[in-house]
Amino acid sequence: MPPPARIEAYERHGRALLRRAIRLLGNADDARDVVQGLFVDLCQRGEVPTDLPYLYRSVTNRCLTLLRDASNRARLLDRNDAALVPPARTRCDDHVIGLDLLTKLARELDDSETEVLTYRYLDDMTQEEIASLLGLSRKTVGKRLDRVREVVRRIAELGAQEGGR
Amino acid sequence: MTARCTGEAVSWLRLERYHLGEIAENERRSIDAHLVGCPACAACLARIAEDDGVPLPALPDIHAVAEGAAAPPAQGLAARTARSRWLLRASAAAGGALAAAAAVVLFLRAGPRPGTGDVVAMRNHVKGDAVAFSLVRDDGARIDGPAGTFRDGDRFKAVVTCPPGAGMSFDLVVYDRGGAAFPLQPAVDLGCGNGTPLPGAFRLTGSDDENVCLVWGTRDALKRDEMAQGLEAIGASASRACIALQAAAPP
Repeated sequence: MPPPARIEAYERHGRALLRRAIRLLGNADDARDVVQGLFVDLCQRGEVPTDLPYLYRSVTNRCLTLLRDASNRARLLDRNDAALVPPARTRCDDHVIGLDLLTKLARELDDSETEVLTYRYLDDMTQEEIASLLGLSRKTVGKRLDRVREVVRRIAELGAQEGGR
Repeated sequence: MTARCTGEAVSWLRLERYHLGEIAENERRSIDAHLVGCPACAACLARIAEDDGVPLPALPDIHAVAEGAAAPPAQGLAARTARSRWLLRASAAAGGALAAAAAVVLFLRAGPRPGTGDVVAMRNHVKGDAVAFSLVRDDGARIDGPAGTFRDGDRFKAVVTCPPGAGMSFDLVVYDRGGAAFPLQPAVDLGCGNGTPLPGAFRLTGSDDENVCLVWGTRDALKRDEMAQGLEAIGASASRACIALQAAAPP
């Protein structure tokens, strides 16, 4: 059997982490692999963090790594099950950040900007909450969100131009 | 689609912690008050609560890894094949029960030719330069021996025991009468150890018997064009071990 501490952490937070991964990846199979992979790695490192924010952030980064990989993009989009992803409550200007837009943004933004984007527009965190989670100042979070908005606008304009042709 | 929040949305992380009872009392009262007047956030909390009765997928049985093996990159399903017989659907629940697998563990020498190693009735421990190969189903059932069964839709991880620091690379090929398929990305220079899962997982569908083969060696020794032609076509520099899976009859 796996070590008891790991089981305890998994049983307590596993569902929350799976939901988190599903919201980002849009399918349950990949989400399950990300979460299981996290616990396997933590176990091998002899670490079993029990606080949800740390695990939540770890899962987020693993999902974003998958999304950034161009070879995964088509597969994830193909497997995206809209019914598994709750309606967005926070928009970036007028844009809902769905899986398609997120994969495009992940190619344009750096890792720290993509992470902030995710917490703001997919997780509905306030700037204060993001700053607290990442150990940053609110000002830094704000700057990164400014950059996110700029890239979202640019991608949306490109999409509109291509659609108009 | 957007669900309008009546004010500042309660983040998913806060809702999760609220649901777990990890929120301080004053913050809880503030969330309570918001949820009463905000159907969008209340619906999110309801989605969280819905999952309470859903069983969690079993974690891989990797206790031996926790005893000190090197860490593998055990994340991601980056390489599920697009071949149609591999079911690529979202599925929240693990498959049904399956008969327990045989208890014999196949250990093969990591030498140039496969199938010449010892068969040792010892589980999850590396002995010398031996390599062991198992399949672990979603519900935790293991197939350690050279044969087993599967049901349509069963999902597996491949687990390898190999000498730490060996710098070996692994690939998985599945043969049936339709040919060869590669459900995972090659695990290049895997951090070996006891019970190391290969990154990713795969699902078997249909009613054909399958031969699931692990091929290993140096990264240059793993040639998919050879593997695709059959076990006999694999070069002498790569080793392999197979588990023959018989399709179980539907209940």
